[in-house]
Amino acid sequence: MNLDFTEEQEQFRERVRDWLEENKPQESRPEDSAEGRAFDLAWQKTLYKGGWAGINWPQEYGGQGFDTFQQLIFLMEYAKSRAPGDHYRFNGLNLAGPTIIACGDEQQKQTYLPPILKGDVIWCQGFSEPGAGSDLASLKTRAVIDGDDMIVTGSKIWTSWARFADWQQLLVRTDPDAPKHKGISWVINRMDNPGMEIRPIHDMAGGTDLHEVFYDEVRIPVKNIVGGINNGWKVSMAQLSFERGTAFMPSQIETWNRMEDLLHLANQTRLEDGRLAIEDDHIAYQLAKMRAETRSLLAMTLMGISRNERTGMPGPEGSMLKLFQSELYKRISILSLQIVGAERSRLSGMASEWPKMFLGSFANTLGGGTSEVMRNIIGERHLGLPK
Amino acid sequence: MDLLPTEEQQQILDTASNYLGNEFPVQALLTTAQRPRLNHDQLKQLAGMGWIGIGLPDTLGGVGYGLSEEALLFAELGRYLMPPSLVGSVLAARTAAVRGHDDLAHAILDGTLRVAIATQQSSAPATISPTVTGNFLVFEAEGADYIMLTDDGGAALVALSDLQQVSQERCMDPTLDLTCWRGDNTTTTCFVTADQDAIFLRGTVLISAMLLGIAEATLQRSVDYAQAREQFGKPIGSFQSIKHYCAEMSIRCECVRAMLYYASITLQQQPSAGPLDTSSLKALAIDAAQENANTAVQIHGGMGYTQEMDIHLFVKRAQVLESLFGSERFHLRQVLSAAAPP
Ligand SMILES: Cc1cc2nc3c(=O)[nH]c(=O)nc-3n(C[C@H](O)[C@H](O)[C@H](O)COP(=O)(O)OP(=O)(O)OC[C@H]3O[C@@H](n4cnc5c(N)ncnc54)[C@H](O)[C@@H]3O)c2cc1C
Repeated sequence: MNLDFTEEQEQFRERVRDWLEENKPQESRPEDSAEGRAFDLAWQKTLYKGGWAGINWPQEYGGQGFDTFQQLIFLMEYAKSRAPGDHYRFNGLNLAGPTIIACGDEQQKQTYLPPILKGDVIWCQGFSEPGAGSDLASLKTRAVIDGDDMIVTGSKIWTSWARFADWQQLLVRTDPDAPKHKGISWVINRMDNPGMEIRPIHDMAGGTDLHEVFYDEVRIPVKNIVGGINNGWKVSMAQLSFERGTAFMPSQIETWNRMEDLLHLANQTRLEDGRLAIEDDHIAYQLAKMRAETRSLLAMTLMGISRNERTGMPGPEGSMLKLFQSELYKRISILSLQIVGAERSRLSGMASEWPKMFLGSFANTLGGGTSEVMRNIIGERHLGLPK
Repeated sequence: MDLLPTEEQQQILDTASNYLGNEFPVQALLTTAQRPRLNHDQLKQLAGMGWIGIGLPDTLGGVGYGLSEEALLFAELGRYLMPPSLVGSVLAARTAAVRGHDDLAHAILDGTLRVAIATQQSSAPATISPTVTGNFLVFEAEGADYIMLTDDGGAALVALSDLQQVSQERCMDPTLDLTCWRGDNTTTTCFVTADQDAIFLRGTVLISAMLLGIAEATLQRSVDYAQAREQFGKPIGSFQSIKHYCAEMSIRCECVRAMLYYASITLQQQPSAGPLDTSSLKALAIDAAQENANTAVQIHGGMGYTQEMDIHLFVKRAQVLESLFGSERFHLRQVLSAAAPP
């Protein structure tokens, strides 16, 4: 049991810190989606040129091939420097890319991996459907083989970033007669493919990054199937093996940063009765509780990473951290509204980051598996309770 | 960086767990006398295995491991509802050793001398300094020679015979003896300030470890019961309300175990992060033990409300342990005022 890093690792930390200090964008990320895309790609290009693209990707595919501790150090320093988050780059770097590395053929790897690292393309994920949310395996979007192509018809929903994406990882049903987990394929699709219609959805936080996507006899080459036909469920599970503990480092530090900002705010903000927010017992109690929980999030993340390091397998901490962090983040944002008081209604002005955080915080307890589904997974897979 | 027990540490944990499971099964508390949980011979036996001095440097007469090993051991002691006065023994040996009372330290380390542990009565704050004044609620004074008194300013070891017994009380936890004692400018046998040695914070970590033991024991019992007990033709664990209770309980355990490991290191290595981590730990451990134990009663249905099962003992112990080394409110105050770590 130790929290020590070697001298070499500390030197690596210095290197990361210095590079970020010199190269991270000075301006904040634009709110407008199209400008956001340009900003994200430009930053990815900078990372690539600096030799920091794909920290968890193997070197043979252009990544850095960092070991777990280097990844950990990089992510800690990255988050501390408050460099821009993954945003639109998320899918390619963390989901589609790693899946192609794990399950793709040589041709697919050569074609699709380098542009992700170089900051040339954005990827999105077309998994969920109107009738297939938590029960993803019941998806119906149909792909019929026609020579060298598949003809895809159906619809997807909640596809983040769809209208700004170049490529998409798409789950389709290639065998309607097989049991529901067995007839699915994971395919690569171009977002400018004829026959597709993309409609933005307005989310409650005011964003338009979610979409419905309709497929009307869209032709996708059979060679775009990754990991074999009807093997798509397994392929999408392979993503999980990339979600080792380090994947939670950014959101853990983001939560800590927000928590410390809020504490700072509570020490400066006056309530209606003239007292500082921190002097209110109810607010102080909750702030302290959440600060303690946020601190433990770091310990849990490190324990999870240690466990992965030993077993080589992702453990129960993935679902636990996801649930714990997203619920905590939401509670922090709700508490912030009590501290900003009447300012809570203003989406413009100085304190508007807090009501914006509040509105956005609902996304995290839904997307990527709802909190209830996480509790099912913990109960069934980790504790062994019956279905 | 590796936040899991090493092989050697795991061995300490396994040995303790096996020994306690054989010698001190919680089940036994349902059929035999509940007090004392640890008689004089049994204390000597534990001491003989080095459990009192496990975290004390060998230069001070201890086994030479650190706070992390101590914490691993105390999580097991908590799981088996062993008395919190063992924390008193560990801290007393340390206090005596740090102050150069080698013979006294030695007699505590080998279990010859028994040490009780106390909390201040909330209505009348006491002073703990080279002399002590005030009323104390004392656990396990029966047969004890010394008593360990601590607050965030320092730690005092006092001969029980130098204090006056005010009353014999009934303890909510039937496995513990509870009495009230008074000091009146009573001279301590030895006193250590918080700056000289972080006795209070170390005690906080050990009590937190015992709370973790309770949180884990009640989770385990709940999961077992949820698999075995059937209603409406299926195990109650298949009902989501029960399953989700269990999932939340297991997250609390993961959270406190991680924080216990983390704080046991930072308290020794990064004094500046010590108070934040230690107080975060105790606040979270209290919450985990109490929530888990209380929820376990609900999961066990009517049986959970009886003395035929052991769940109530954990509910009660979780309350006792909050009263030692700072309540949740106390520690949350500390969490709020602690400086951000580097
Ligand atoms: C911000 C955001 C971004 C997203 N991005 C993408 C994306 O890029 N690509 C993509 O494919 N999808 C995306 N999703 C979709 C996301 O994966 C789904 O919303 C999620 O899986 C839940 O499905 P649903 O919305 O249909 O809700 P439902 O599954 O209908 O759930 C409704 C309610 O029922 C509960 N529930 C459902 N099943 C159970 C059960 N078995 N036990 C207990 N409770 C249950 C849920 O917890 C929830 O409270 C995104 C979602 C959000 C919010």
